Amino acid sequence: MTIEKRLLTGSTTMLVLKLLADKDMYGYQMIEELSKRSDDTFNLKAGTLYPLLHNLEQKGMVSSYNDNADSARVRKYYSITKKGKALLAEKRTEWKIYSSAVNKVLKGGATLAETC
Amino acid sequence: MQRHAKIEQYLDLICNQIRCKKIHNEICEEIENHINDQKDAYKVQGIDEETATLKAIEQMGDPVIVGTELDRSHRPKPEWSIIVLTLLLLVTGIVIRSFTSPQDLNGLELFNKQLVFTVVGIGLMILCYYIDFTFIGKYPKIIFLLFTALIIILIAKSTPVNGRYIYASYLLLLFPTLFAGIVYNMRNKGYLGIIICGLFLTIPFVISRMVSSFAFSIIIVMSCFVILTIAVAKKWFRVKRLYALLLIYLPAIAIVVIILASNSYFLQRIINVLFPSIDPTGSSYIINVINQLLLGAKFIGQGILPSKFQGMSAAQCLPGVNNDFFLTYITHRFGWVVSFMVVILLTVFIIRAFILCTKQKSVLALLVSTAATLTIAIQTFFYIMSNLGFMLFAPLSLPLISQSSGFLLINMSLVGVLLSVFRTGYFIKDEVINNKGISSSF
Repeated sequence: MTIEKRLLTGSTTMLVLKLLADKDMYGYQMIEELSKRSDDTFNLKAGTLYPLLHNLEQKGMVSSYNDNADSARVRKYYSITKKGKALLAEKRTEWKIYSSAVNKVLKGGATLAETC
Repeated sequence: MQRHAKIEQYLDLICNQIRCKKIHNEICEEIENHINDQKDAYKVQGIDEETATLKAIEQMGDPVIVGTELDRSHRPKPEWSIIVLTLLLLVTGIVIRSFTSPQDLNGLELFNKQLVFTVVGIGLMILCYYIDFTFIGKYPKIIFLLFTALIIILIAKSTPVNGRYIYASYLLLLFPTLFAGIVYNMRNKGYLGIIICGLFLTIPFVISRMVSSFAFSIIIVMSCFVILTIAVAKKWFRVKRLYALLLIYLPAIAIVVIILASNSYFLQRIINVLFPSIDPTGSSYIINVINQLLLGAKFIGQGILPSKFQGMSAAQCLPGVNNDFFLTYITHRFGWVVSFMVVILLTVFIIRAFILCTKQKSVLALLVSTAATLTIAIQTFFYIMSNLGFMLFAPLSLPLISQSSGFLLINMSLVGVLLSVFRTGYFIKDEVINNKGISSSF
């Protein structure tokens, strides 16, 4: 199932930072990896990814370098910075609070429905 | 490889939305790589080349929206911290000099003249701010030689004061920044590249030895050496760092030793600084006055003038209270706290500039901004030292603060170059050179 785009936008930054926290990657690789790890649930558009990456770079959350490590193409690799790691930690906590709150409400709704 | 027409069209549409032209190439390369990766993936799935390309482009998303988004993150931003600090320094100088200028012979006239030059300086700064600084990296040799020619013409046309050509000397202070462009162009040129840099450095050095005071030569040489050292540390010349540093510093040390040994004037200066009491009314007169004034200075308020200057004001004993010895004089006149504040303000400016230099991604931006900052920083350091009585080198100016129209214009131009680098420098990247391909030819 592909998730509605609106749901994805809020957490894209977190997901991208998480990917980069594991290893340095280039854009295409990130989209592939994200799709793979989420069992094809997250299908991020390149047109969303690059502005996001460039923005994160401007803010010092990620840095970039060019490398031609695994093929003939010179690729722009992104790597997470200290600041980016801090942001990721922050986003994670935020996400935990948010998702547990959503779950509580959903569960609460269910019990209410049962008792009625 | 020829780009597919559809890819070309897609990239053009993205770039048309992005106003900062410097970033176009880099973005195109990144997006094109992505499309090609996607296309290859489709081809593996058994889709033919043409369809795979079209599908890959479609997968990217609306180019106008993507371009607009990218434009938002790549808008050139003025570096407000430096602008605010520059204006603060100018205002501080003007306010303090409005009190000290009347003490000086035709001081008010000079004060008003400096006001006019401050406006001209701000104009120069804005001009340099809008000029694309990358031209220093594009035509370094032409610019370097044009400046040399200009200086030689100035020397020929002007009359020296005490054997010094001051207008030519001012311009010499721009050489470290131009030198950064020369170094930038010696990428991967090996030891020969370093030697060529050395030859270019010889030009302003020899001129400065002929027409300016020692302080100019030292500022130029020190700034240029730091620039060279940074380039070596960044493996810019593609040579072993140790050998490169030996190649740079051994001749330099030899030259310094020869100059010091043959320059009795400089030895005299060292003696004057160490033993100011040997010749208190002659060659070490100024150092003695400085020491006396500083000894009598208070933390806040007017300091005490020793009895032996009875009947004379500090401004009468000390020449150049608004230019050469402004800092000493205001310490005496208003107390240490005022000079501390001035020095701290300048230090904050310099440190902030250095921090911004280290954030530059391209070597050109790094070298140019570091050279400009160093020129200001070393000037400041020499000035403070000499105003404290350690007068190994003549005080040139307390950048943006002390009275001097020539230095003000030069320093404002340097600030303009700095602002130009900080405005767009983050977007510029050096071309990537295929490492493997090149190393095989060595």
